[in-house]
Amino acid sequence: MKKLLCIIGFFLVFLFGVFLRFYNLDSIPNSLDWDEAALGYNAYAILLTGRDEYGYVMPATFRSFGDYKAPLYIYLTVPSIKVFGLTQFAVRFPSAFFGSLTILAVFSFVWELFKKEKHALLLAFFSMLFFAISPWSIQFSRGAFEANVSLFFVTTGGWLLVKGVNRNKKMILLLGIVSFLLSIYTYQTEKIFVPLLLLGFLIWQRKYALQHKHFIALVIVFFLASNALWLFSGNATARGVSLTFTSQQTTLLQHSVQELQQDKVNGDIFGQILENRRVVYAGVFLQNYLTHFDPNWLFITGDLARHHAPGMGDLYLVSLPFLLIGIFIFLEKYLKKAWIILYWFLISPIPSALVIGSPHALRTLVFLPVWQIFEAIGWVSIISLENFKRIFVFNLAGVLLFINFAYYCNMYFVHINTDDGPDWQYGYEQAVQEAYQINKNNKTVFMDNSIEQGYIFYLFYNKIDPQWYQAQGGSWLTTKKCFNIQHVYFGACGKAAKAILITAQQQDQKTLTKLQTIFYHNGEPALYIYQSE
Amino acid sequence: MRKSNWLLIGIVALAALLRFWGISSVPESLYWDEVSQGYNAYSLLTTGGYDEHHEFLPVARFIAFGDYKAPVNIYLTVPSIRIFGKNTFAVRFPSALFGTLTVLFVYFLARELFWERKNALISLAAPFLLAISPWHIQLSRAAYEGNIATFFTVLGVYLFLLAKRKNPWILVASSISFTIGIYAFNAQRIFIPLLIILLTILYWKDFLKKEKVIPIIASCIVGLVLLVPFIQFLRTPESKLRFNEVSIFTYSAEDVVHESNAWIQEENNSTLAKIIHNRRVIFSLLYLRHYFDFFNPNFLFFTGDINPRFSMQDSGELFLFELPLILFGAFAIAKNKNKTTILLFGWFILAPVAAATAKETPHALRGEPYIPTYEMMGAYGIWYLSQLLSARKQILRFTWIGGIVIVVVSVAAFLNNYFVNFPKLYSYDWQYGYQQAIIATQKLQNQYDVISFTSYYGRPYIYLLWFGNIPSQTYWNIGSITHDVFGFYNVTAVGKYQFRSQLIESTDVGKKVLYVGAPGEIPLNFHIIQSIDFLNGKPDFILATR
Repeated sequence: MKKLLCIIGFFLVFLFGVFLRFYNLDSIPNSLDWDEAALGYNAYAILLTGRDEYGYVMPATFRSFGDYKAPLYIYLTVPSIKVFGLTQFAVRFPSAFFGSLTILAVFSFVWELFKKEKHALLLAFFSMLFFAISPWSIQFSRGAFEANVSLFFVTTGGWLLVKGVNRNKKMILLLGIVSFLLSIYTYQTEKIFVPLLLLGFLIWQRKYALQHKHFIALVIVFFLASNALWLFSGNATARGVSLTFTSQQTTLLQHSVQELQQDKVNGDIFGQILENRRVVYAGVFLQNYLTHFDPNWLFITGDLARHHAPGMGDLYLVSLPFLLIGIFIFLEKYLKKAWIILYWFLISPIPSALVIGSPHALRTLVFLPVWQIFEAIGWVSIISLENFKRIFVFNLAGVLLFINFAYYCNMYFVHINTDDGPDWQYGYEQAVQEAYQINKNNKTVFMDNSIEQGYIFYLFYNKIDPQWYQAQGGSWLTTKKCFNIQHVYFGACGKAAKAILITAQQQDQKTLTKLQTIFYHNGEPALYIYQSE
Repeated sequence: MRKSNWLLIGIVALAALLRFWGISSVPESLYWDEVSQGYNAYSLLTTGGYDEHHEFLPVARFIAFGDYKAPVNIYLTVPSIRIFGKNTFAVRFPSALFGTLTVLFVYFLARELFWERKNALISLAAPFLLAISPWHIQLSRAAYEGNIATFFTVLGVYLFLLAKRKNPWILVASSISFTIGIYAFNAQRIFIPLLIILLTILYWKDFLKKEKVIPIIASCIVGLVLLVPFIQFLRTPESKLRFNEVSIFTYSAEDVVHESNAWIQEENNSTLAKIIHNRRVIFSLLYLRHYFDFFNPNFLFFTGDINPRFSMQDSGELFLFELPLILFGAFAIAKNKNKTTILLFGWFILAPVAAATAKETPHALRGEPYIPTYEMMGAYGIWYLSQLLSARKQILRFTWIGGIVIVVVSVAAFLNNYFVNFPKLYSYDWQYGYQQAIIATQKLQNQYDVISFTSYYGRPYIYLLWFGNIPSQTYWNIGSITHDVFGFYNVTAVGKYQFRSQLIESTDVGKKVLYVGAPGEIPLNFHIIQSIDFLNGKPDFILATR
């Protein structure tokens, strides 16, 4: 009977998590952002021609807007587009799908990790529950975010490695390593995070590793295979290099250079050492790192609008006391056996701290199952309270969590489209479809630079034939200041009489007549369509 | 004497050195609240007990700029000016002195809190960390009321614990100390009552004995009687002025209502939406955001308060090396699961409660009451770490040596920055130049009919009174004062000095006028007599005529 209840609860939670990830996936958020559109169109191009938007055959890294994308998400989207067509749903499907599977991976991982502890099943169950309803996970499962798929592979890899060691099975260990490798081919952050994590695993299981040389061999295989990525293409790291904070020397060092000059004038050697570039960089890294523990970021404000529900952070406010208690109990009880969890927690922000723009919820998505595990430990600790207290605290916490969850659902599912329209590039879809119609009548359309990366939306929403597009030169066109696809001109082009202009900026009315305004859901104007005389 | 006593003396001496050394010139000048407190104290001293506004011995508050300043620091400045004369040192002396004393009493408090450990390391490390704390040093080196209030908070808690362990009559002293704390600074008005509630909940059983009833009642009566003038003040509208001026509940009210309405509208004004997006919900979240600001790692460890009067911008409020110590200490204290655990964490959580109602958060001064808890946790962390490593003597020794090197480098870096770079970079924020401008103007004043003095840098009159050595009796006769809509007092003229937001007026024509203005205010064709620069070389005041 008890077992049956457990199984029913398990499936209910899983199905609920799936529901939260798939419910109205195509319309909440109501529009694709440019990365999603690029992923989608590249997958579409691969599906039909075997080449990407630039015409490369089955590339190992995808060039996109002067950046490079890891390949796996795009290849996963190919079957999705085959089945569902070139739609918003199809582009987001892999993320929602793997986000749902991660719920199961979290359960398995926690279960495997704490198997010998008293409340292992409850811990695994609560971790899974909190992950299923986690705003952080839901946020990135409901958009085509490569990081979310990558998180699945990291969690699964972790689970398989622990399981492989526990049962001493080479095959499972191999699968775990493969899973880690796949995560590296899915998202950039993992290129730093996963090697660090694997090193941690090796030290954590050093006894096993010393007795079973195949484990060490597998780790070596991992490092060789992950470096193979660099052999395929040096572009794989371009994104990382362009974003690291050392590339922002001027702004970062400005202040210290001033003081350095003053120190030199004063002959202050000590001061000169302190303002040294390396010392400043170390400081910036630590500062970036610690911003990821700012409670406001975690619970109240979040960072970019695309990374959290309106008016909320990515963790439930109600979970704060349970997190603190959970971390305390973890340190007291589980640290020796499962310190890898704490290690995972502490290295999660490292990749994000190396680049500009901290804190960053997407780059630190690998934080994820750990917050939920700590929270679960906090909740399970209630069970050790005395009878009366236990019922009281449990119910109170449950009610509060429910309220918090309901608030989140309201903020996300009801308000994201009205509040965050600009951040999801709302209006581009209508604009490019409008442009397509006008273009069919052999009229010229201009989309100026205020419409960022408009061409990819044009390709995506109008299902432009990739073969035709590649024949025109593919996205190499976009390297020009002004380029056209059919009769639609993008970028900084001149003016022409009797043409249509689509722009995000309101224009001088004298030379242009406004034909149409595209509005956000909240009634604010998004884009304007003009006709020149 | 025992070794630990010598160490304590050394720590307090170090604290005094860091708080008094060069106090007249770093920070480089008195900012307006300091001058105002100094002048009011001077006025009390020289007029037989009348303040700047000709009020006799105000108890609950001083009107000052119309911001109703807390009285304790002003009264403490009276003897200081009596002894040291009317100068910068005398104005800053009480804050530096009580800052040093806070270090001493944090020793006693730590000893009392961790009594069962009987460990000299904990009770000495806590005052040491406070002695070198950038947060506390910077607040002790200017006349901050909050710094005095922090002392009385620490003293009150210490006396309370002492009363519990030794003689219940000490409770009366604790009660007096808390009351002074409430009088000393506005953030303590909320924090101290909360702290007293916490102490009562934790320790009421210890006082539940027959022989302890009379001292408890006595201390309650003493406290309440002392609070009578303050409670009367609280009932006046003036008391709410300052709160309303800085409070998020008035400052952000419009935004909150707007946001709430927008969300309700997006859900077609449904009843459920009216409950979920009630403005009280949004206010609570806003409050929490300001509360969490006090735990912002950037504020704590990297940049400090954004106001250069509280922090020199380049270093955090705490040293970065304290972070692991605080984390270890917090964990170890939590592991004890005793009353001290609850008291320290309670204190820690309650300390920003009052300060978070203000719009400027995180605020180093209003958040000062929670420094002692950080240092207490840090000290406990040091002890806990050394305990963890005690089995491995070699590693322990290296950790100690490494730790001491890190501490010395961190402190040296802080001091280097504070004494060398900080005064030059931020002299604007300390209203530097008033002293020089007033003295220069006074030398010339007899040659002119009117002196038009800019109010660009704020509250010039108080600097004239202070640096111009104008006695209160004279000021009462020749000062003209107006009130603005917010209740602030605005002094428009003192004798022939006119304080203007528009430096040049049409009525000046035909009169001999000396203009003392900020750089942009003096027209190019004017004849410049003298100019005074900020310490970073940028122009500050310009004395000129037509």
